[in-house]
Amino acid sequence: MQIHVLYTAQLKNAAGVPGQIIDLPDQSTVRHLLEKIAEVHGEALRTMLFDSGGDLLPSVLLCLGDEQISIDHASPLSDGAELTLLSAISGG
Amino acid sequence: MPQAPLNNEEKETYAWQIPVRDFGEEGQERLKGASVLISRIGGLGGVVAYELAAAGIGRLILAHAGDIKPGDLNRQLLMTHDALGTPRIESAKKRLLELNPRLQIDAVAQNVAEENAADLVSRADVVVDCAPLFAERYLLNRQAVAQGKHLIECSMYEMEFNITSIEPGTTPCLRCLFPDAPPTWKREFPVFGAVSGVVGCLGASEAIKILGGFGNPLYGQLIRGDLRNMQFQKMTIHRDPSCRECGHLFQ
Repeated sequence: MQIHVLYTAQLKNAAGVPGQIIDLPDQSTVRHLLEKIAEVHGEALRTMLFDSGGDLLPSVLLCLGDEQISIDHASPLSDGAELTLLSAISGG
Repeated sequence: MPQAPLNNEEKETYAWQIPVRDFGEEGQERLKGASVLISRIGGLGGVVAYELAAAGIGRLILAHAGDIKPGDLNRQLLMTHDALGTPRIESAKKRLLELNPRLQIDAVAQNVAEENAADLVSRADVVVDCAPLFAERYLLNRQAVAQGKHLIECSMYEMEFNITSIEPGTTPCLRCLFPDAPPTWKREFPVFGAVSGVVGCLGASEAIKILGGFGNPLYGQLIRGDLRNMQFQKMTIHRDPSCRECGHLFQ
């Protein structure tokens, strides 16, 4: 199946693209998708998504469609779903 | 929210907004009776302050340290070139009073810190977070939660912005959404003044709705926008029952 991924702010810079389509096996979950993204983009993005223990960094918020979702959401993703990766940003 | 009666000059000044549906003279009186804390009045907070001054807010508490630098002038619309090297807070106060001489301003030449956060938040009905440092943002969030104050979270980066409104005990707080700051965040980041202006106007609109008692504030919702391609998204966000800041409010 194919999942649309949107990157924002610093995550977009680290990914080098504003978004992309990721191919995943059927029954894949949000965690599988993020691990695939980190694999595709290497350390530059991995270190902005995961800590050294493999947990999602607390500065990253995930939305599936228009709904915030946990990385531990157990339900498999649907073909054509859209995941947005938001990074904490500030003012100035 | 307290209300303050309008005089004839104020009724004339706000004649274009008093007829707004569900707002009316009562809403205008609520704005006049209201106090808003804005943490930093740079590119983002300066626009929030200017719009709230124009709308007839009774009192602004402004917290911002430091002097005006050339690098401020691409976005900090309350600062002027001829005031380079002088305190930001003085320039901001002068510009706001030129627009609205009835406005009461608590001009605090300090940034939000451990020592002043509780006091600053206690003076306000609504807090607008426009600070560049996450330490300041989390302090405001902590005090807003502790004191039950509405908090409007405005942020930006390059051509993008995020905004949500927090009602402690009802909505997720900043810690629910982002329990900690990004490990690689830099104090200076790329952004246009037009972007801070957009999110500043959105933040001011949220404050006006919350204080005026009309419309639908962004409670439990976050809008993200990317002005590079004019893409906007409104997301439903959720509180974290284990949040170390507001989790106790839901037990």
